[in-house]
Amino acid sequence: SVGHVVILVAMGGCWGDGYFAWEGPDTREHRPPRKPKPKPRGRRSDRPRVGLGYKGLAYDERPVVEPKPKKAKPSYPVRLKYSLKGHRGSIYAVEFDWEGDYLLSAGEDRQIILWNAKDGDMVKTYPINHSGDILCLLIAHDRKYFLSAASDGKIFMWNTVKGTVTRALMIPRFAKPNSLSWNEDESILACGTEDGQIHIWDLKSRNSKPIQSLRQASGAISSVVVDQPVIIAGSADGSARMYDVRTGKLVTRNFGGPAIGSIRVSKDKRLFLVSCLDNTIRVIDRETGDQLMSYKGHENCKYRIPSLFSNDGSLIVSGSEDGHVHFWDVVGGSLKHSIRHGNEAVLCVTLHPRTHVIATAGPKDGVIRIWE
Amino acid sequence: RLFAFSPTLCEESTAMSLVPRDDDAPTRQIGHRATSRVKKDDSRDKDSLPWNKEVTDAQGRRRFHGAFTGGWSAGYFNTVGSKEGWKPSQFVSSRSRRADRQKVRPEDFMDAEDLAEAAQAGKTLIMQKDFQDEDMPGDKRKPAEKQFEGMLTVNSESIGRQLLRTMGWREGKQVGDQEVSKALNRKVYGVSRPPLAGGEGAGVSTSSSSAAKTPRQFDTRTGLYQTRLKSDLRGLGYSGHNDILAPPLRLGRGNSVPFGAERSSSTSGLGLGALEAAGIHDEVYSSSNMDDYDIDIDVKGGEAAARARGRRGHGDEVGHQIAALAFVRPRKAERPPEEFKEIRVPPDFTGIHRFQHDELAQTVAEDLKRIPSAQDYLRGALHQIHQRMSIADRARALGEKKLPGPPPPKVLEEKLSREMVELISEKDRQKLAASLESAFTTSGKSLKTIDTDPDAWRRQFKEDPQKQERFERFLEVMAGKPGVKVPRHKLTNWQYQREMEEFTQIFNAKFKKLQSSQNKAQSSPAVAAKLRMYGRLTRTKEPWGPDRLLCLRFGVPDPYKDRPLPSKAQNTSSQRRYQETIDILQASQRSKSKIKGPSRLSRTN
Repeated sequence: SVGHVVILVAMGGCWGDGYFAWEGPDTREHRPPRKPKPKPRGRRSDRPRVGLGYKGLAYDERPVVEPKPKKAKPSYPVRLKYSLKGHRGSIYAVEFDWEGDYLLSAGEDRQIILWNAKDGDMVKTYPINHSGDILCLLIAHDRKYFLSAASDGKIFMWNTVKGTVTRALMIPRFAKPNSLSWNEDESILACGTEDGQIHIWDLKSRNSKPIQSLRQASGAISSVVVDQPVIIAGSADGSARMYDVRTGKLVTRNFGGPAIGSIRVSKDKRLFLVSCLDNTIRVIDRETGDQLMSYKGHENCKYRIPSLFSNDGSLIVSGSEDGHVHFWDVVGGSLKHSIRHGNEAVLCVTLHPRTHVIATAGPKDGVIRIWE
Repeated sequence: RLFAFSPTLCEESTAMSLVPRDDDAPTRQIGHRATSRVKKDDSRDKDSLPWNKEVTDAQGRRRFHGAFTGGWSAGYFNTVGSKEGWKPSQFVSSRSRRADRQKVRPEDFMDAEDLAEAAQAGKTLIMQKDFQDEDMPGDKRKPAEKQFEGMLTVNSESIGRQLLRTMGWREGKQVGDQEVSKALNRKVYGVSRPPLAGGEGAGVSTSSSSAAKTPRQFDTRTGLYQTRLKSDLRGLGYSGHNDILAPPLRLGRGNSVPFGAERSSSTSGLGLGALEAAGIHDEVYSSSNMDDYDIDIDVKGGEAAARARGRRGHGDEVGHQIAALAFVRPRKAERPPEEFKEIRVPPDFTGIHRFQHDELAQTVAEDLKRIPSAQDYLRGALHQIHQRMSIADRARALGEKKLPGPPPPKVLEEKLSREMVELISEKDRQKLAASLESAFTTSGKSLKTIDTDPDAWRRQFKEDPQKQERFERFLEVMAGKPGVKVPRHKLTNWQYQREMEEFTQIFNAKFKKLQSSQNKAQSSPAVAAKLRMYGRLTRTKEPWGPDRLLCLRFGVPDPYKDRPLPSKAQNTSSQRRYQETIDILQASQRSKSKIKGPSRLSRTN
């Protein structure tokens, strides 16, 4: 059936079935995912129901009763599927891979854990190589490597299978990275740092220093998006900057005061979703800079809380500092649904690329909850 | 066939085979060809060695040699050496006949210095100086001379040399000053005077008087020692590398050691390389007296000098050297240096200049204290000046004559702005008219009442048709008429700007309700965003230069490939000065526009 979502649920307190490896070799190697259960080929309920009094009639003449209309499944996640436990401390980055099979998470305990998204198993834990909290993760398209950026000012490239660090990039002045983004080719990496700079690396060369640093912002850069050929950055000085590489022009869009927590680009690339730290999420038109919609109802005045478009573009998803995750209708602007993650602010909200599954994580409890 | 095809070759070969060659060039036959290549050194065959050859006597009979047999020739042919029975020693070694290697002793590699040291250390025995023959390497003298050299050694030191030595002379050094000798040897041309010895040579600067004062040892007549004017800042007695006059102090040695033998010859025969010098720590058993450090600068004499003279130590030499640099009183008495009286600062001195006698300057000075910037000062000062003097006073002060004729009818209309005219009451208007009349010889007729034409303000720039046109265009633009532009009319940038400001001021005064968020929004993009005026007002565009590699990765041509980046105007000092000038001019213009009277002021401005 359409949109058969899987909920990953785990109860708080226990660490699941894997023991937590703090240092040392991994406890579990990569396992192929379990075979899916065979779907029933045509349920009785789906086949056309025949009414009473069909005996003696030809096959075509049998009366047909329309099946009962099923209750439409909601398009947003409602139920908790799993709770993934394995981290100690806050979690700052949660990412699904491109296919949606795996989930990578990292946070304050400097440990990166690879989870199986479908059944919630801990697949692999990566050794601790960072000396600061891991703040950002980026998974490559082919899943063979991923990047992790930590507050010690270093970005490590890991080999997913081997679990080793293959490359290290240095952030100038060891600034704290707030956001990582790369283009589709994975050749340009942009990192927005706490000191208001955007550093750009060329990943194809072996240089660990950035090829360019953009210093126009006067506040910390909270979010960077590389949308070829534009680099978009939102900063705490209340302005979003669009660096167009093709024309060589920088357009600064001022938001009149509140710091910008995150910027996302819609799938049709015409809209920006900007969450500002004045409890508002705004949708901005890319061409004119006009504000098309604004969404309220959540709390966001302190932390960098991401807000996302849903996969079909009908919903806006955002975390909140009161521990909820809110869903708004894009067009109407009304708050449709909320799910409660915990008591603390929800710092990580990631959408599954295919299904209506989200993963949420926040500080202090170190639990990732997967909802369907 | 060989004959047919290579006649030359065959000739050679046949020739070679028939005639044995015994000439110089060693040849050998390899195959049928003759080569000069020698495969093996035949001379080194075992049979060719002298003791392996067959011994024959003069008749050619085979002989064995032994102690009693063999005869006289036995030793010779087995090369005892020669007919005489001994082998003349000759060192011959060639490529073909190599001589045996001589046994080498370390003494062969030592020079005289090393030998002396080794002797002192007790390693070897060397001959004393008197009996030693100088074996210098590379000696090119004839062997005969060499042989006799050692037999006849004469004491080379004559008494004269010994004396010179005591005075500090060394082998190889010239006696007397080189410059002096040069001067002496200089050719004299014409009638010029010959150079005097010890007088005019460069560096020789003594007078007879000073010569008399110097001690005998350093008599200038020998030309060895001169007193030189001390023109440098070195210490007394300093002479750098001049070891004669200022030999280096050595600890604990009373007898003079020749220069160069810095290596201590006491116990350092071992362990001292060629490039090493003996350090202070090597001489552990040397004794040092404190007397070595005593240097007397006493010239005339006295106890110290006598002691010094008695003991032939180095302090003596230094002291005398210092004495040689005796100070002499100058002939001319020098004027004492100019004394400057102490300047006493009056207690009420503040460092601030106060203007005196000038009212305007006083005003300026007072105002400068109060107002920090020139712009404000100008506005304030002009205002004050206008306040202090009335028009009539100024006219009187400037000594103006009254203008002939009645006042022009449009005086009030033009000189007073519309607002001011409306503000002034009737009574005051008349007063004003009266005062204006005093500037003219004839009183004007009753002035018309102020024309309260509501649209007069639209035509206020009638004198300047270009300005009027600009104003009208401006009004049209503000009204929203499309396709209208304010013409420039060859105005400079700031003039244009100023005009636009003026026009907007007039406009705003008239249409006060439009002074709304539009203006506020234009102040800054942040304000515009707050007021929800999105779009152009909230956005600013500026150029930025992406990195070449970034453009490459994005697959985009570099936008600033050839041209440089248009940079923002830097806030340089020249720009600031320009801005200040404009501000002052604007301030003056504004103040000028405020005062509407007979504009004497405009002329002075």
